[in-house]
Amino acid sequence: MNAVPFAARLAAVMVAVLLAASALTVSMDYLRFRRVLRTQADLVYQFVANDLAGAIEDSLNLGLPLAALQATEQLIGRRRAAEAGTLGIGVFDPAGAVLFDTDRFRVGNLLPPEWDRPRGAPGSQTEWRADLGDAYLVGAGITNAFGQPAGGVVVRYDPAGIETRMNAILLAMLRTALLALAGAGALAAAAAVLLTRRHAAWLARATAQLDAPTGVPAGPPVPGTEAVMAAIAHTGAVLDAAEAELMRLGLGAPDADANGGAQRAA
Amino acid sequence: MIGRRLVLAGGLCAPAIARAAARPRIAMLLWRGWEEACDGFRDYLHGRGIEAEYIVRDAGQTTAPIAGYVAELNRMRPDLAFVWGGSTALAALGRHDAPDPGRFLQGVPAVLAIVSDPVGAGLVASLDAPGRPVTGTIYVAPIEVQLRAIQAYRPFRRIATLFNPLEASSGAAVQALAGLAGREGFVLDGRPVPLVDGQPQAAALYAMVRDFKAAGAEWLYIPPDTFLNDQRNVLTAAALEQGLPAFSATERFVTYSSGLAGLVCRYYNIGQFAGFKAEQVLAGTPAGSIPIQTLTRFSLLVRMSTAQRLDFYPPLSLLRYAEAV
Amino acid sequence: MQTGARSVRPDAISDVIPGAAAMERRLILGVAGVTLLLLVGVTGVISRTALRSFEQEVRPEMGREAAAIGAAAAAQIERAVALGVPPDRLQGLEPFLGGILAGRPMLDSITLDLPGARTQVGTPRAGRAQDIAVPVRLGAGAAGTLHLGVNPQRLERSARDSKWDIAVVLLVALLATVEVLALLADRTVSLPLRRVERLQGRIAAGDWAVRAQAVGGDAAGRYLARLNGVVRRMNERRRHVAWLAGEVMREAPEARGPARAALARVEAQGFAQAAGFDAPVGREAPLRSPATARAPLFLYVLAEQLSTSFVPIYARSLDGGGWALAAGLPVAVFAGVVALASPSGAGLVGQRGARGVLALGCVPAAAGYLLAAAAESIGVFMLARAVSAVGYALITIACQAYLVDAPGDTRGEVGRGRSMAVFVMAAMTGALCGTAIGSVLADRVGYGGTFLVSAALSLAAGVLALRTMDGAAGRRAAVAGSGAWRAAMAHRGFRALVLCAAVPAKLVLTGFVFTLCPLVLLGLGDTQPEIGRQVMLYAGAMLLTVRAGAWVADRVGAPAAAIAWAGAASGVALLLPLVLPLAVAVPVAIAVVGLAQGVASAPMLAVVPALCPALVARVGVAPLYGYLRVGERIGSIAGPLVAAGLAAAAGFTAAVAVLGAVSLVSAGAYWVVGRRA
Repeated sequence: MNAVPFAARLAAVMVAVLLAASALTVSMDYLRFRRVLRTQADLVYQFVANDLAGAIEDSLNLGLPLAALQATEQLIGRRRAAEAGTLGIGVFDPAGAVLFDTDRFRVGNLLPPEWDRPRGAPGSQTEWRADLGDAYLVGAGITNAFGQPAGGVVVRYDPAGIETRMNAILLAMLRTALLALAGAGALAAAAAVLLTRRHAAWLARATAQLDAPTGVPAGPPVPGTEAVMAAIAHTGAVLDAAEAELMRLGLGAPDADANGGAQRAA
Repeated sequence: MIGRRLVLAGGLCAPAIARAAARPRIAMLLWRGWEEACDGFRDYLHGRGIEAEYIVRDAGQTTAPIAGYVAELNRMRPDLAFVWGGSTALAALGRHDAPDPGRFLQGVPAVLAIVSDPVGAGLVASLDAPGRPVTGTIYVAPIEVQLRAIQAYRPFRRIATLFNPLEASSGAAVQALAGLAGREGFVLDGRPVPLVDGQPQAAALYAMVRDFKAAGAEWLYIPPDTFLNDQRNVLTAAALEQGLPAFSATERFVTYSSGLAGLVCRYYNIGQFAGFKAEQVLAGTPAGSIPIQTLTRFSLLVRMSTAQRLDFYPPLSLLRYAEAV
Repeated sequence: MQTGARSVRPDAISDVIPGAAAMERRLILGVAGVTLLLLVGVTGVISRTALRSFEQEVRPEMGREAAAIGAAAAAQIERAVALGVPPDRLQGLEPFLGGILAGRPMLDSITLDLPGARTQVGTPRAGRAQDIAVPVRLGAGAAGTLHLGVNPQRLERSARDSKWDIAVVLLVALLATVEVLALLADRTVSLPLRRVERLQGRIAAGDWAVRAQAVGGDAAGRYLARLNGVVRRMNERRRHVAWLAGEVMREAPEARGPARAALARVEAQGFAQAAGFDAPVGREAPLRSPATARAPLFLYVLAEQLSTSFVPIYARSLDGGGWALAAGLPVAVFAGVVALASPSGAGLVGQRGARGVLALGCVPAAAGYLLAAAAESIGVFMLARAVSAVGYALITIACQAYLVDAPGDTRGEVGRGRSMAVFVMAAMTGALCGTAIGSVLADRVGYGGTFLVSAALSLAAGVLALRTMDGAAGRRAAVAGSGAWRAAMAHRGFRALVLCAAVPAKLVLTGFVFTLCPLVLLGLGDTQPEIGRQVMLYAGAMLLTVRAGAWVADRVGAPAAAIAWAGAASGVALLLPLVLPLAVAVPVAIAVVGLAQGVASAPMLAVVPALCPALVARVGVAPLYGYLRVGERIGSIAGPLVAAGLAAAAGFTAAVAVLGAVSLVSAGAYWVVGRRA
């Protein structure tokens, strides 16, 4: 482990936790709001799609097939101009061929599969949504007078409106988070120092008492270290006694001191 | 060596030769000259890369010259014949169940345009299986559809219509309408235009309209008919004056006259769709196997100036998908 | 100052230094308290900003739909007028406005005010209705107004949902970070203190053969270094004494006896065997506290729950996933494989120890998620779920075995309740956080991306487990054979536990809380988020009482009573719809069931070793948990079927009452039969 003081490590832990919580809160709130905004926008454009589908169904109810309605072209053109943010409106038949589209080049081709109902959905599903990356899409199914699916209307709209709002929200939350973290971080540091103060003091005293030159502490042992000091004292005493005894035994014998060998030799 | 070069040269020239040789010859049998439907037909083929040689024969609004044209075409054997109008078609092709090789077009596939009811007129056995090398487009919406369009504008209990006894198409439309009257619960007041010297009398039209109004008709239905089309201004003016809303099955009554409304098909579109059929025939599909369809684009037209003068406005929901002229 | 030889008791730590333990507890509490306070403060402030942002940016969007409807209607009227229809002669206004109103519950009424005429459809709501006015240009300077009476309920509901969303986010953030805090505090705070405690204890017990390793530079490290120095000096003096004795014995053979005696007195002090220069340092045994299993378990359950909200939808969108069955199949496959794999997993735990099996289990778990992300057809997806289920079974069995084998820092058997409470709480918290995070994550990175995140988290859990958990826990010599199942079922107490406690509890949970309640709440008119919140009520209530249940099991020593009373309380709660109106009875019942099952959860796991000790000695505890798991799964699978069948046959209230009766009866049966423990 490094030499970072304990209080600093503690403060780091607290700040890390605060950071994690803030990040989690900000990101989850951001994602939730994005979903709400997307849902609201989808509602608006879903209304447009449903309304168009309804108008087409009204004329279908006369008995003409979907491809035979001349006015559809002008209708979708008008709707596209009316609602801000609309990128394009298309009408397709049950086989997936685009019959009318505000983008003329799409007419006659097949509808891109990701624009159609999701795979596995029943043909009678009347509303669907998709994320195309550069645009959001809502779809409305058209049902003919016999209740059979007769194609659908797809409306693509610009995600930019949502993005602007989301950026504003994110900025506000980040600003608050940074301020709050700064404040909380300072408080955490202070708290860490305060909390570890007694702890650090205890450790300092316990350490100091071991620094006594003779190994025997000056005063009473620091509370909590009684047993340790007692054991140190006890073992030290045993060692002292043994040393003394051995020295005595060694000295008591005729040549038992360090120079005994030399004297005998000499 | 030389032989090989010749073969090579021949191979290089072959596409050009083939193209030149493949330039189709299309006969245009018309009733009143080259108009929008023919434009649509030619533009469609041109857009598809088919440069055809067009042999135009105009009947000039009478059936007399048609026999001569038929004989000429039987000799020339073009690849396809474009036949404009029900009268022209009957004169040139005859009924499907009464063939006459001497009198009618033989061995030339035909594409019909501006024919309101091929089955009713006897030109083909049925729309899906014509029974002869004849295909084409219908330019009138089915009668039930037209009826629902009228009901959507303003529901009615009594509707009046008139027809030209000489032309099969208008009579057929009126008969169909009569059939619906019983089922749908409205009263049809249908009268033929009186004939004078074997020709329908234009002067009688005003009186007919006045009588219709007096009898309590709420709408006037104008079926597709050549004579009525020629007299459209007289007819629609009479209806306007009498305060009788006029609904027609063809475009000109609303766009070039003062009819109130109509569920119509633009002639240009009809020509285009006929071109689509022609393309299939030229590519080799037997004309008898191509069904006659109503897939041209229809518009519900409303003439607002007439609506204003009649004080007879369409409901808001109808205006969503109607076109105003 | 000679005393008798001291016996070395290396494990008696906490008895020796009560002061240090108290200090550690104070420090931990202090850190936790301050951090939680700051956490609540920071996340609270952020949430308040989020709420304000919502009011500013999101709420205005909510009215746009009505405005769009109004604009479209006005445009049509304007077009009709522009085409020449006089405003007072507009035809078909009532059907037109009525058509707009029909099928739009958000609108109460539409009124068109034109000069000289007024058309109204629907009934305007008095009071709090919101009115959207759209101008209608009629040309030549004239204008009318289209008024849309908006039903405030829907907007208010959406606003309320968003506020709840913010609250849920707050809660999830707190729960998740508490887990993180627990792990970090354990490593950063407790560890150094425990090292000090441990070394002090060893020295105090007369053991001079160990030194602290990994000494840091902070205050605790310095103290440990000093202690190490003391140890080293003692060892040096001991070597000196030994050398002295050797010299004496060599030089003065007649003094051999006393010298040897002196040496023996020194050696009796608990020095290391070899008197070499560097005394072997005792390696610290990893601490077997329940906290070390908590973080990996939380992480894994979080990973697994990320995908629960969309597994049915994902299944439907795959190739071959029809509309009807596909939704339920992967869930059923998962549950089935977990039930099948649990007993085998238990055997594996006996062989390899809990930590090894936990880490091992993270591999199929992650592999399953990766496969799920890449799946193109329903078959592959079901295979992926089966693979993940194997991981799930291994991990959860390993965790349970680890926790039961590691009573932690309280004494012996009595702490088992608290250990199992750790398991339940970590799992529930992980489930709560995972479900909440998963639904927003899937919106952003897609289903495949979420599965990838799950895989990464599972692997992280495995790595964490390997680094922090004790490898010896869970191992045993005897491995359960197939006869273990029969023996387990033959044991009356265990059988009662499975049949009368585990199965009915899961039956009630999946049948009532997860199947019947959403249906009836939908019928009462609640929206999807509201239903989700009511079901979360169960999880929240359960979390509240898990500790209480552990306390009952540990301190009071009556786990069976807790289980039986919990079952009875659930049963009574389910009878509430018979007497109270549904709108009140359902949430109350959900809460009570949550509280009751919370109380019972830890005891149900903790009671097993004490219930059949002979069986545990024979086959180990892990297989028994495996069988308990099988029973729970059976209950989980049968629950929706039974509930749906009963509801179809006799109606909701009757179905709930039947489930309640089942719970009551089985609780009684357990009390009678399973009490002998």
